[in-house]
Amino acid sequence: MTPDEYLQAVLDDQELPDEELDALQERKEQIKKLLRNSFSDYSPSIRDAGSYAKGTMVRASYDYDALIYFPSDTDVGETLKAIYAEVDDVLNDEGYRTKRKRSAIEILNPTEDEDPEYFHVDAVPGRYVDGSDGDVFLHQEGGDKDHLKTNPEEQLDHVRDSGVRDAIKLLKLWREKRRFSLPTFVLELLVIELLEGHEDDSLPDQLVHVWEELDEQAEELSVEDPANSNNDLSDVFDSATKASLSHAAQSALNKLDALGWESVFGEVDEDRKQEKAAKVASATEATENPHRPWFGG
Amino acid sequence: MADLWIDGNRNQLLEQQDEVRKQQPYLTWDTREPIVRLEGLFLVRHPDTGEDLDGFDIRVCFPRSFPKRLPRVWAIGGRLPEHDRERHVSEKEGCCLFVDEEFHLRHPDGYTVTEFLAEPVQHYFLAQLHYEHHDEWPWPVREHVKEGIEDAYMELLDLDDRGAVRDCVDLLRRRDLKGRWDCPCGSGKKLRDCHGDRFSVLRGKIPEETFKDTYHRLWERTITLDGRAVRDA
Repeated sequence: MTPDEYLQAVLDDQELPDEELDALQERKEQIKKLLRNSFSDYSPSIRDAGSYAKGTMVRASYDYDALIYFPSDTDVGETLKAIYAEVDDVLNDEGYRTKRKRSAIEILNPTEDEDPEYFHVDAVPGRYVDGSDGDVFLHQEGGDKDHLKTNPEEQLDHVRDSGVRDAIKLLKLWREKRRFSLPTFVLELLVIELLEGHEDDSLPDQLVHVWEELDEQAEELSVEDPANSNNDLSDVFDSATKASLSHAAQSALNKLDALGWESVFGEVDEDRKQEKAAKVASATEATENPHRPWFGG
Repeated sequence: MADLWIDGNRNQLLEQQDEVRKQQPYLTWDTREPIVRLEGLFLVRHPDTGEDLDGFDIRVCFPRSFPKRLPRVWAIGGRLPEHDRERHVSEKEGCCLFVDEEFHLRHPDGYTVTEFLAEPVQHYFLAQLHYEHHDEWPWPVREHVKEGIEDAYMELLDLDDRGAVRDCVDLLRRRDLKGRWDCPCGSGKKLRDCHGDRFSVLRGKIPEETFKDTYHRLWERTITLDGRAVRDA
């Protein structure tokens, strides 16, 4: 299998099965309907966003964002914080458990019996800046500023039209495998910026280019909200995050060099998985007098 | 920092660095103080064919009193859980490679960094790889925490009574032993007529720091890289 074929196989493997997609659709409609009905007196617009709308879903990491944006003169809440709290309360009153994130409200599975991980739906409350239906204000929990101004359509278009969505998907997968913390939108902006001019490169070449740039120049990199260059993203893309990224990128390049693509993303071919499992078993059988591990607590 | 192990052993360090580079070319030394580290991609090999099977990102930290005190290894890069008894990973002490005494007994004349990597580190990560593919640890393991140490000592000293282990380790960690003392195994005999010789053999092969650390571990303290015993919160 060529590297191109392999990476395509990884992407295919990461496609959401119909069952999961249907379940997400159902949850999405549930939440949209709830928000529409609960706030019908306030005429919000409810739009699709998240990786679902951007076309960057991978099984390892996907989400649907329900953007609920109120008119600029709304009286659903006096402040953005109040609007945010109102939406959170509506969800809680309907029995959904939620977790407040920076600007989004993560909706958790309704009961603790179910997979606690992820409902895969966030609600993102906001208020239009003016009557033009474009720019919005979002509340920010924590951070130096309690709100920011952005344009969700511009952000969506920036990713949808980037020409590098497959690279974004693979690097999201890489992030999940490495378990390092980097907000998806920062990862997307980074990848798009680093691959500017490389849109026609092969997928393997694109990934190597991104990793090389991260390895060599992470400290100098910065990202900008395409909808508002005044938005300061330095607190979510700080020095510690850059250092982590740089190490992770170096590790990916080393693995590629030493062991090949499968060491980064895993085996996708069943025969190769079995072959590797057999080799590992033979290696452990051949090991003489192995040390006995001891867990100290 | 005068007593950092590399200070008086620069040549030895350079030799070891070269050796490690040949065996594990993706591990990088960081000799900035206060902790000397080796970090990067550790290649797990097939012992017969030498084929590189897979790799784990690791960090090896060398205590000030290396090699008397053993290096600590952490798996970095998110592939292993941070804390998991079944997979022998401890949030506090890193990868749980062995009972320290058992390593020293295999290397009574000392060991190099390459030997450390080629044996317990290789064994551990090969076993982790096996676990990923086959959902089980491939070899016998020691029981967890105190019980594991007690089992190891009961084997080493041929003891019947688990309760005697702590007293034995207490004696082993002392500067001097007197043959006329009662043997801590509980036999009622004097040390010289009971476990005295075995104790001498162990003390000749295992650094005193190890007995001190083990004694604290038997009291369920965690030992830091440089040998401080801390009570768990």
